[in-house]
Amino acid sequence: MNQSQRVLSTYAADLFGISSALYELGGLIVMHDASGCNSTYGTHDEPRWYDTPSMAYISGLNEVDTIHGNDKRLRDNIKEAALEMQPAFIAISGSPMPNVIGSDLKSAAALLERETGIPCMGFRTDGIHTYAAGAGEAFLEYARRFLKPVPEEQHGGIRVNILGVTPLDFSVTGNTTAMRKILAGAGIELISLWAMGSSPEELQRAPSADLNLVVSSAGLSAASYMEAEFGIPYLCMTPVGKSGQELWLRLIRERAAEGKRKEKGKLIPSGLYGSISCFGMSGRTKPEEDGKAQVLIIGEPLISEGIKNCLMTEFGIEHVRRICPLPDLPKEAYAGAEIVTQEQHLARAAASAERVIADPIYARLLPEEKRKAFIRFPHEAYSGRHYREEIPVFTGNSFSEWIGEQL
Amino acid sequence: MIDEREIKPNIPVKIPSKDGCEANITDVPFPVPFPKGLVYAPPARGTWTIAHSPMLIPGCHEIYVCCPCCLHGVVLSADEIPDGGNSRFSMVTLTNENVLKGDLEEMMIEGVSEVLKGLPEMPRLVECFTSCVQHFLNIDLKVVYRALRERFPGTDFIDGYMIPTLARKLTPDMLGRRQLLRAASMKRAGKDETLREKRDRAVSLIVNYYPLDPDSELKELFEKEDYEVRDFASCKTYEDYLALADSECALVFVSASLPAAKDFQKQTGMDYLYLPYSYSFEELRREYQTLTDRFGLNMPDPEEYERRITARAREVSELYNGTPLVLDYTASPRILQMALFLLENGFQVKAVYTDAFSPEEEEVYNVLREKYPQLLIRSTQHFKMRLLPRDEGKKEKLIAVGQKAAYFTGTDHFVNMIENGAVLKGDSQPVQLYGYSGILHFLDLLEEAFLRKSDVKSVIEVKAFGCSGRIGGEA
Repeated sequence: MNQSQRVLSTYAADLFGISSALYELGGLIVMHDASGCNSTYGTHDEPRWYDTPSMAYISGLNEVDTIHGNDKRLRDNIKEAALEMQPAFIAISGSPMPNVIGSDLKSAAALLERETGIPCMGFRTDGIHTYAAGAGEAFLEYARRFLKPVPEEQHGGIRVNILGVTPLDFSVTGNTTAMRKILAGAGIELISLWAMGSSPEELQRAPSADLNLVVSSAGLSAASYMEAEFGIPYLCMTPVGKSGQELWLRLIRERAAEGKRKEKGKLIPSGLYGSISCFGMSGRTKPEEDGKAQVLIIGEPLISEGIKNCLMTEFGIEHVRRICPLPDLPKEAYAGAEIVTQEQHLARAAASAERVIADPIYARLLPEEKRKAFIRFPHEAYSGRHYREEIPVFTGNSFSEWIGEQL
Repeated sequence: MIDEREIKPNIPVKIPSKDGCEANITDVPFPVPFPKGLVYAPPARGTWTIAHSPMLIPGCHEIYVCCPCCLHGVVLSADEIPDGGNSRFSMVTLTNENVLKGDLEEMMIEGVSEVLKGLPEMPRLVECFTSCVQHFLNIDLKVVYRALRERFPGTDFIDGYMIPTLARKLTPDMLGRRQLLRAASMKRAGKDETLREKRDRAVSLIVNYYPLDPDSELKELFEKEDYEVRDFASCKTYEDYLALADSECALVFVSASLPAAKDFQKQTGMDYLYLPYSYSFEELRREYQTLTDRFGLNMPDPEEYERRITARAREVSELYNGTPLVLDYTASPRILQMALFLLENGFQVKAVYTDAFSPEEEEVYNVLREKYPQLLIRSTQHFKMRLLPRDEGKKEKLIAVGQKAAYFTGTDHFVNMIENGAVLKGDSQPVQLYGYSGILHFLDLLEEAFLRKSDVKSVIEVKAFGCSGRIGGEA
C-alpha cells in the first residue's frame, strides 16, 4: 500500500489551480461540487479571497442531480449569474463526483456559450490531478480563446510576458513584485504577467512580446502554444537568487536576440488530461541513490531548479538533489527532478540528505534531532495559508541573503 | 515594498443590485428566503467542521480516505489546529486507479492499517472518513470495518462520512454529530445485560462543541440534586467519553444534534430531552418545567431571572441608543428568536443574515413579519453577496452578532459567537450560553462589542473558533 500519508499533506487540486490562474481576469469561475471545494480553495489556497472579490463559486451539486446525471440546474444557475454580472468569460471545472459520473463539462460549456454569447471554457478536472496541471490547462485555454495575432510593430528594447504565476506557487509575499523590478531595472518591458496584477487587456497584448518567460511549470503549455501560434520563443527558468537573476537577464537578452520563430513549435499539453492517476503506483520515476545529497529540495520543479542553481553557483554546494511530488506535469517541466509521491520514499530521501529545503510539513518526515537541518520553505499549494508569513522572496537577489542565513 | 498589484489587484467586476439576496422579512418565504443558485462561501471560518469535532474525543485519531481535493481541505484544517491537531490526523489518497479497479475496500483496509502501524502509539479510537465517490460506487463498509476491528482489537472504530453530495437525509453537520457518539454507544451496547440495566445518576450533554458555561443555573440545578453533568465538549479522558453512554438521560441543545440523540437512544436505550437555546422567557420556563418534572429538580425562580434580564437589556439598549445591530445564523441556531428578543427590548435590529430559517422558528418568523416588517433578511451565499460592497459598518456605527454579519458589513464592533458559544470576559476558551445565565452573558457581550473594537479579519479567518488539539485533555 503506497497511498497512506501519516504526516504529510496533499497539494492543491486541479480545479483550484484553474480558479487561481483565472482569478483576476474578470470571469465567472464555477467549481462543480457540493460544498467543500469552495471552502478549501477560499480558505487555504486563495490569499486574495478576503479582500479581492472575484466571481468564483461552487455549483452546489446535489445527490439527485448526481444520480440523474442532470447538469441542467448547473447551466441554469450559471446562466442566471452570467446574464446578471456579464463576466468576461465562464470557466467550469469539476470535482471528483462529476468525474466519476462522467459529466461532460466541455459540452456544458459549449451549450452555455451558445445560450449566453459569453466565451465559456469547460475543463475535465477530477479533483485528483494537481493544481499545476489545472493552472497550466487554464492558461493554455485562456490563450487559445483570447489571444489574437497583433500587427508587427517596430520597437526598441525587449518585450516579454511572464507565464505561470499564481499565488499557489508565488504567494503574495513579494515574488511578482521582485520579478517586475528585475525586468524594469534592466529596461525590459513587461507586457503581461500571467496572471497576477495584469489586466485582461494586458494579457491580450501578450502576442506582441518577443519572448515568454516561463517561471513555473503552470506556464509551459501556454508558452508552447504561443510559440506555435505566434512564433514567440520561451525561456523556462525561475530567477532565484543573485546568480539566477543575472543568468535570467543574460538569457533573456540572448533568446530575444534570436527573434521570433518562423516554424511552428510543438504544443506541450498541460498534463491535466494525460494520465488516469496522478499518484502513480510506482512512486518514483527516476530513483537516485539515497545518501549522496548535501541538500535535498522538495517542491515545484522550476523553482527547485532555480534554488539548486543558486546553491551550486553561489554557495559551492555540489550535490543538490531535487524531488518533485507533482507527478502530472508536462515532462519538459521536470528538468531532471525525480518524481516521488509516496511518504515512505520521501521520508527515506529526507533522512538521507544533509539538509532539506521544503515546505514545513515535510519536516515531520524527519526525526526530531534532524529537524535542525531542515530549511522551512513554505509552498502555498501544499500548506495553504498556514505558513504564508514565512515565505521568503525567492525571486531575485534577496533569496541569496535569505538562504545564506539558513545554511 | 510589495507592489499593490500583487496584494490588491484590480479585478474587473460589476456591482450587482441587491435583488434576490436582500429583502424585508415580509417579502421572503419560509423556510428558504432566497432561491438557490451558484454558491459563495464568505471567509468567516469560525464554524466547526468534521475535521475539528472529533478532536473533542480524547485519544481519537482521524483518518480520511478520499480524493486529493477533498483531503486538501481537511488536512490543512487539521494542520492549523493548535496544540498538536496535526498529530491526530492521517490520510489515505483515493486515486482514479481505485475508481477504475473498484478495489475500494482493499485500499481502505490496507491504507488505514499502514497508517495505524506507523503511529508512535495505537490510538484508543479511530474515526475513518469516506467520501462521496466511495459511497456512490457502493463501497462495502461492513467488510472494511470488520477487517479493521479484527486487525486492531484494542482500538475502537467510528465510521465517519464526508459525503456532502449525498446529503439527502441528513445534513453533513447532523451526520457528523451522530457518528461522534458511535463508539460510546457501541461499547454500551456490547456490555452484558446486567451492566446495561445499570445507569449512573448523571446526565450527558450531547453533541455540543463548547462546554456548558460553569455559571449556568442548569449545571447548578443538577449538581444540587447530586447529578453528575457529563459534557461531550469537556471529556478529559476516553473513559469520560465512553461514560456519556451510561447516564440516565441525554440533554440536547441544538436541533442538529437530534439525530445523534435518537441514534444514541436506539443504540443504548437512553432517553433524551431537547432543550434548545432560547431567547424566549416562555420557552425557557417550559424547558425548566420539563427538567423539574423529569428529574425532581428545584425550579429556578423564573420571575427573578426575567426581571434581571429585562433590567440588564434596558441598560445595554440605552447604551446602544439606537445603534443598529445585524445578526447572522452562525451565532445561534435560534437567530430569529434572538432578533425578536432584542427588538422587544429596545434594540434596533437592522438585518438578519441567513439562507434558511430553522423549521422551529416559523412562529417567531410570523411574529417578526407582523410586528417588525422592516427587518431585513440577507443571504450569505447568494452569488451577488460576493460583489456587493462591504462598507455598511464603515459608514455608520453598527454592531454585528456573528462572524458572517461582521464580514459582510465591514464593522469593527462584533460579538464573536458561534452556535451560542462565546468567550466570556476573563476567560480564554468559549463556553455555551444556555438558559437565563446565557442571556445575561449575551447582554454583557453586546455591551463589550459596543464599547470595544475587534480586529475582525484576524478573528474570523481562524477556522473552528475555540478548537485545539488537546481540548480533550490528551493530544
